[in-house]
Amino acid sequence: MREGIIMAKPAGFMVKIDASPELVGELKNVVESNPDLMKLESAGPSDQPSHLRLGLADVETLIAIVNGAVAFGQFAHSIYKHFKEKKAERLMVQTPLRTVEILSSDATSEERILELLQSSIRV
Amino acid sequence: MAKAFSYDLGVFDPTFPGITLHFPNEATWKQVSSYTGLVFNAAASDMLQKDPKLSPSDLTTGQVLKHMSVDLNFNSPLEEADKESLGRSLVDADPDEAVGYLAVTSSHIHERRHFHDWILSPYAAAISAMRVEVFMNYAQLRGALRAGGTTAIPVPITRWMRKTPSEQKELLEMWQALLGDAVVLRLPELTDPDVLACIEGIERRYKSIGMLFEPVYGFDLDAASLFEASALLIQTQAIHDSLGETAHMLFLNSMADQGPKSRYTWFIRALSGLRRPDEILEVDTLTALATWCLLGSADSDLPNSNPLTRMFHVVKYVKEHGFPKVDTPSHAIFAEIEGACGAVSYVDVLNRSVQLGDSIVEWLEKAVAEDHSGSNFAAGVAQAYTYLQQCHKYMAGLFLNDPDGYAKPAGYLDRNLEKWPEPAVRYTFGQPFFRVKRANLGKYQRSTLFESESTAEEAVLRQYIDPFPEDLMQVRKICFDIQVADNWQYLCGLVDTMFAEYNRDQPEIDYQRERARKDGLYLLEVLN
Repeated sequence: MREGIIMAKPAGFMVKIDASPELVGELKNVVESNPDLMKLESAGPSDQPSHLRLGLADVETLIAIVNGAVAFGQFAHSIYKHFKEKKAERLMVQTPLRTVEILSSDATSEERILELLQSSIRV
Repeated sequence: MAKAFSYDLGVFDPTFPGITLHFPNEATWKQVSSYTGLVFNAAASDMLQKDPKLSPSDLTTGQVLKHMSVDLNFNSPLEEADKESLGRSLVDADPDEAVGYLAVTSSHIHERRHFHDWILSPYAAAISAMRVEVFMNYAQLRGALRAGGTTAIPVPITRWMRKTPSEQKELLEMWQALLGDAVVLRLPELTDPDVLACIEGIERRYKSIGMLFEPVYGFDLDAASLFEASALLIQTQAIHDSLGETAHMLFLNSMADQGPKSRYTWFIRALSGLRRPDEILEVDTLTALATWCLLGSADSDLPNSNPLTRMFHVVKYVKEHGFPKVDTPSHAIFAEIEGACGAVSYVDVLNRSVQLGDSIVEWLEKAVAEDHSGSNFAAGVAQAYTYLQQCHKYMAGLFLNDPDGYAKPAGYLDRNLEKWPEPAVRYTFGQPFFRVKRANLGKYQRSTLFESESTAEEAVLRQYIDPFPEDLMQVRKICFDIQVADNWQYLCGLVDTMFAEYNRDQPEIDYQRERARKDGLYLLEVLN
């Protein structure tokens, strides 16, 4: 039985992004500028060996709790801008469901970056 | 100035005993294809120029390939001037992208050396042995992980088990929100003492295996960097031998320009810093030194087993004694360094490594004979390891018989390739773009798919293994068994997915996740 309005529990999930220190710094700013959408868990030098290290000399990791696709939209904007300037970069986005690698050459549009980010939470 | 090549086509992935060519997205696939086409065209032009009677329509792919590398044996048929001309024509065709061409055209040689180093190195053999122990432990765990109608397994399991009950509860809530209420999360009960003992054993072994990838001594480098050095030196020599000095120097300088943390060039830069004014840095000598770094083993000589530790011995030796003369035989170089640092002789280490491998094969045979589970898991582990051990024994025998034939690039590249086991080549795709008609899927051996993107008519490939060409099969003494390579990858992928706490972004983990999903099981990543 409906009992008036009950606030929906935000569908938060954890996302981990490995990328260059510069890009992680930019994404950290995105998280901190959007406290309604995201919460920073940690950001800093990566302490885990990863395949991404084969392509990037320095890898940093950002872990955040995000509230769905809207948050990914914010990330997509920053990533797109960054990749348009840096032609030889890449990042790895991991969610509990999938891992997706995104390269500068994927930055054909902001929508494409968003599409790739969203593919990381496809059930 | 030529652009540095920004993409690693080959990936050194010890979970697959072969060559892995990884294409993270379609743009990379197209770029690499265009490079390959350009090199092919340069060779074809060269043929037409040399033989006016030929017309473009006379040329077959086989003829052009043969022209580039006669009888596929890397012994270029070209004279020095012709090689130089071919190399220059490649560089001049698009100077900006020239390093990319060179990297792509020689990547097979680079990755092939990784494969050979991997099956020769006692250090790597010890890792394969540890993996076998992990697989056999996992065989006992499989039932427990799916008992009671498990629908989800948090992975890596050991990371999950370290979480406090409140952290686990929080993660479960987040996963439930992601999956929706229709999915009932039932996790495995991991409380039985035997199960916990198995997990503990696996965790212990993974810590040892992970050392290959973990930085030591506070440096941002790991043991894998030495494997990269060996492969890069061979690749550089191969570019010189097939495309001349200009192409060779362009590639070498581009590598030298990589940042100070590049795992590819660290070894070369470290040693070039020790060069005395009158010394020439010889690729022959550097390769022998890099090879020695890969010949340690914890079983025979624990303090000197890690390739990085051995690298520091090399640096100390060169600082004190200078570089060995270029014509010094490899065995003499090795004996000198071993004498100086007190390491066990490479001869003893290799022999002991082979003995140990043989004893593991015997143990596996016994375990399989006593296995009445009805599953072929243990038998598959035994078969794969036995094959790897045969290759290790074969490589160790060749090496001990003629160290220069392996440790010096001229010996390695010039001698008959019939001697070296030929690795299978695996193509992997990071994104779903490589589409083939279902009817043609049979051409792609051991393929795995992006299931969600595939349709009844069209398959979207995640990976496939290239079959060995017929002419290759005729000249190669050993073509590494594709089924064994695939089985080893499967075993590593499966158990890594469950337990490895490093390289969590390796593509095989996502494949295992998708495969489990088809069986109604969610493998949910514990991200921190």
